[in-house]
Amino acid sequence: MLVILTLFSQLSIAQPGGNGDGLRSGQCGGSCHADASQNATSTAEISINTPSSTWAGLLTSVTIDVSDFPVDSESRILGVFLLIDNSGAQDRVMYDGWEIISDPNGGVNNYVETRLSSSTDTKQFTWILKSPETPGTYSLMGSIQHGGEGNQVPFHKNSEIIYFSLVSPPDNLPRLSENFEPPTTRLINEQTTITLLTEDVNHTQIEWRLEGGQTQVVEVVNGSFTLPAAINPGLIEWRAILAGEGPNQTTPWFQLIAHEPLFSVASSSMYFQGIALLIFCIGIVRRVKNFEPREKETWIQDPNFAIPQVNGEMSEHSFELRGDF
Amino acid sequence: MISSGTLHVIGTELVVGTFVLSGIAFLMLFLQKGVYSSDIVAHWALFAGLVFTPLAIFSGISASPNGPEGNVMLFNKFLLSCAAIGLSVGLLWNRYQNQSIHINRVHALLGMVTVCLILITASFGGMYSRGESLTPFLPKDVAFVFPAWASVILLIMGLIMAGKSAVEHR
Repeated sequence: MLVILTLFSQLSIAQPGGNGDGLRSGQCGGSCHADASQNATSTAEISINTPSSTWAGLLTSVTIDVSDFPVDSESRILGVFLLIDNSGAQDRVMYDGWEIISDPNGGVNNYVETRLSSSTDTKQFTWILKSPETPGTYSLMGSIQHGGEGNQVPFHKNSEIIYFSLVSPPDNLPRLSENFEPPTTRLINEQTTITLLTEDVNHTQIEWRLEGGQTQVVEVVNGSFTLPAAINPGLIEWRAILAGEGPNQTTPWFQLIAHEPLFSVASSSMYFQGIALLIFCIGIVRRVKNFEPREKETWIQDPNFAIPQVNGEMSEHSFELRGDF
Repeated sequence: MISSGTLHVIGTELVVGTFVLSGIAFLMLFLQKGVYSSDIVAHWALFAGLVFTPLAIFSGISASPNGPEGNVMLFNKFLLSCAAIGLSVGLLWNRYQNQSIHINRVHALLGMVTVCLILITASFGGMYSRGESLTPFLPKDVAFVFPAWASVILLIMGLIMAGKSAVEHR
């Protein structure tokens, strides 16, 4: 069986099953895809949008748009990098002082993977970042990698590098507190109450929307607001419009990913089940030893078989067999 | 110092290698070819695999971020490993008590089933760590979590069967 499975396997390069989300530089994460000697340029279109805010030290969002995803990608797994440039090494966003608050999958990675459905050819990936504290000029770049037909060639493509300036915010700028950490994931069928931590804010308005849906307004009571429960796994986005003495500020759209409860079982239960299965398997095999070899069964059950000559009368306890058998 | 992940790789290579060798020998036993040498290879390789299996299990548990309690695939790997250990112990026990059991084809068949369980376990490992395996058709998101009473019944049944066999042997 092992030989058959091996013979019928199709060899490919890179990792067609994906590499998992992670904090990776462009060259490290996509060593096969980024290797000019074996990769090919993707036909997909990739673009990166400038940060939603240009205040240094505050939260902002960066979006990478991928379109025209090739239909011949066998696994339809798409890997997306958020990098600071195309140097390949030391190009993760944290090298410039960015802090990843949430990635498109609800984690804190600069490389994420997603499996696109066969009908999807356009996808948007949004990172929420805390920008560097130091004002100045910064750059960001997106990069994608995926497989093709039969995963024979790893495909790769970089977006253009965008440059922009971060400036120091005014002292009285209404803002979210540095201590505020927006939730990134939640379970389905559960409402989410978020308590905002703000600075220099007199009035707050919250807007939320489903992916591609219309914007709704929700009331803020004592600095807290509640987002409705999600019925299915998916994405809900929200943002705060902050008013104060300084210029009004609108936060980036924060993403909240709803997912089904994760698999979880108690350790004791798992170990007990494992031991019970172990003992049960021992018991099953131990029963096998009572089976006599097939050859002997045939030998004894043969209707033509005659007991060879018996010396004397057959005793209840013992008898002697003579003969060639 | 060596990380749990590296130790797990070493452990699984030892386990899979010895079990595959044992599986080939059990296949030969099933076909009744080279019975004498296959008997020795099958059971000694199985013994070696059995020795290394706990190393692979516990290094794997240590290497996984949330343990097998939080992942369906790792949970199944753990259970399959336990089942394989049970079958291996039973097979070796039978062989120890009955020197001619190797000509029993059911014995050889159970040996191959044991190896098959280990290979499926390794296949799940490949799917977990690299997202690909030789058995992509196997369900990877189904786990049978028994309630405590079901585990107790399983345990009692196993003890009865093993105990009864031991009594019959005497």
